[in-house]
Amino acid sequence: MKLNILSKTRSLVSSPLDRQISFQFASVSSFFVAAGLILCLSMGCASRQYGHILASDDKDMVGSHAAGAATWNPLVDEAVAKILSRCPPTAHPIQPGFEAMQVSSGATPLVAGPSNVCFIGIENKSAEPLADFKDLLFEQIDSQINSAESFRGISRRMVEAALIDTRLRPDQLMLPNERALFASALGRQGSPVDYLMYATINSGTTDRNKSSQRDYLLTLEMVNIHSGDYVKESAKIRKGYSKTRAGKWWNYGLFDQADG
Amino acid sequence: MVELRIVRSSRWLSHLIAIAFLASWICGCSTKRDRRTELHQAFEQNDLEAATQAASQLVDHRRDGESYTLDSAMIHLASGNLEAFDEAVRGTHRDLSVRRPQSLASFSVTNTLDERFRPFRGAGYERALMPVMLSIGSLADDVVDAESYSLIGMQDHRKLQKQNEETSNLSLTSEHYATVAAVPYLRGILREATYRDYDDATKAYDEVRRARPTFQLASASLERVKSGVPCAKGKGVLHVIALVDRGPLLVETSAPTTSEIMSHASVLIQQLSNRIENDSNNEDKNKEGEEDRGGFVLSLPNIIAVKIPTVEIPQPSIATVAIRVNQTQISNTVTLEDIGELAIDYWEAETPHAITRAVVRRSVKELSVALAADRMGLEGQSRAFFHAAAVNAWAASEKADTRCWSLLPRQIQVARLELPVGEHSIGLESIGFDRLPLNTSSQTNVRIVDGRNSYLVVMARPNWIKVIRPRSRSSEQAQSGLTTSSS
Repeated sequence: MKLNILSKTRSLVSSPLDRQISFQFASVSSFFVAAGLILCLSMGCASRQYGHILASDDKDMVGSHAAGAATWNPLVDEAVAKILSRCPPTAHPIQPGFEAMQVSSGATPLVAGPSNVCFIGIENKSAEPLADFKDLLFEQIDSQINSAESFRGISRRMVEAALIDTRLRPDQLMLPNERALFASALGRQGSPVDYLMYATINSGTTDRNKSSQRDYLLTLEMVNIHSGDYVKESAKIRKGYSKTRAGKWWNYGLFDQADG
Repeated sequence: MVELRIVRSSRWLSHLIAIAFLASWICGCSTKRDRRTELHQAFEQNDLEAATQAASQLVDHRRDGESYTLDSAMIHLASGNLEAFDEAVRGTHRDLSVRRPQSLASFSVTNTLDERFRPFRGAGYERALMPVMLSIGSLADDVVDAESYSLIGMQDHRKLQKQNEETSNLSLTSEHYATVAAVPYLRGILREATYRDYDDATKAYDEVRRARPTFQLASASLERVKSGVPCAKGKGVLHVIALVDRGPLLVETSAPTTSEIMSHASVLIQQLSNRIENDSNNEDKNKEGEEDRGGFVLSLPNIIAVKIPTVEIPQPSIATVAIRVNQTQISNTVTLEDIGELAIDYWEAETPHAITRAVVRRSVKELSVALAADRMGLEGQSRAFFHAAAVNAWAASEKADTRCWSLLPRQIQVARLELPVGEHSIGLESIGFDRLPLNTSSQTNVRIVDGRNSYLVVMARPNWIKVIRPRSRSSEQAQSGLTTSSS
């Protein structure tokens, strides 16, 4: 075996053509030795990672493989603004110990003020995992509801405690009895509730050869806990994915190529 | 000619230097090997102080330090120093994740010397297990970062798959890296505990079931999160996570080359030499006039076998961990993740690349020797003798890169118990494959809170078993009457 290796190696440097090859190997081996030792000793063979703070007017980064900040942030802003504008604060029955505005002729006493919204959670029915975006979106929506004048959010921890206390699943809260049970659990904690709010994320994917379009839909649904009525609003963003930078112009260019 | 004269005149001096270097190198290696053995023996005997001392002498090693940092982290975990454990594993994970997979410098060093001289990258299974171990460490501590680590684990896996897909044109294997079932499982139990993110929990348990169909707890959990709640009223959930037995090690082996690997190596060398040829083309033309160099056709030397690392799993001795609640045995842990199998799976996917790199390295060395012989003007027998001696000496000096996270467990086993609210005495005992106890047991108390998860992380080695508690919490428990004992 060794003889075989030797003969093959020997043959590499015998003819003029092979001498050229051997000259190439001189380059190869000297390259390895010199570049390897010098670069490794001087640079440590490790790469670095850097970070920087974005200014408030910097654009969000557009995800190359999935929805990212550039998709979710405007979706949340639009959907929350829409739902809050359509959902006027309602007068609701007074709670014991609260000062109320008495309604004439002995009708049910009502109190005016901001409605209490219990944000139950986000259900992801899209084709993409939300990963760490889920809790971020939850907090964004919750904060925006809380900052509206006519609405007041109920603490996430209180909602969680009520769910544990009642052992109810979020989907069961649509049933009248379970809804009442949940509302009373929150009421016992000192957080009366007027609306239950659900968020759902859906996606739809259209493939065309190596390109694809994905539509992202964020739907917010508010259910009046007293009457069972509900209001629903959605926001949509469409996004194209291509293997090359030119894919954007190729599919969505001047000539409306995307339509076929 | 000038170089040749220098080499000849300093022949004896170079011999002396070489002998001195070899002697010091061998002595250094044996000392390091002794300390590593010392570390393993001390750890397996539960002498954590001696293990810490041995590890502290190894972590400063320039090339191997990071692998010993991981071993040192396991000692911290066993001793309840969870902060140090987290810092060590997180730091190594961070360093390895920003390290380029194949930088120019490391590729050159690898091909000139051997892979031990490149910065430690960790085998694929080790990198995949870092977030898992971090998440488990967090569950043993304050649970704050457990979910983040499980997310990092999922992102790492996606990156690995993407990387594998991108290099599939050069890949010799079609297998994808197996999903580490522990990552989605940990995410599943954490999301389920929120009582509202059942969709996330469903996806996570479904992924566990697909990754490990024999793991029955995944199916039961999936059913529960689809239509039920984590536990009944007046109860809480105790998750026992056991790090069982001695895990995989990397050892050196001789791997045969195949025609497919040789052709792949040939392509790699061709690509490299083309790159160098392009870089130096103008300079060469200036030196050699207008001579046409022609195509660069390469035939590799006949290489039969090369040294590569392979996975070795120590003889298993623990089958399961029996759990006694208030002196009554109610459950056993079941295997969630077989790290031994995972290591073999990952290594099978990576081995062809390792063999290819070894073949390229050997080729470069052999051809460098042939070139040196040519420059020295050797002919006939003297050339053959020189070539054989130099190539053999160079090849013999080469070792496989066996740096590894050697104190990993062989398996991650779990159990899920629904217990009534209040304090319970939990007894844990290692059971062998003959279904008999291994004379190692540990006792601890756990407080179950209504509707909430509690976590008990256990480390079970052949000679000992212990519950992992943060040092500060252990002392608080001792003061409040909650005790942890092990034997």
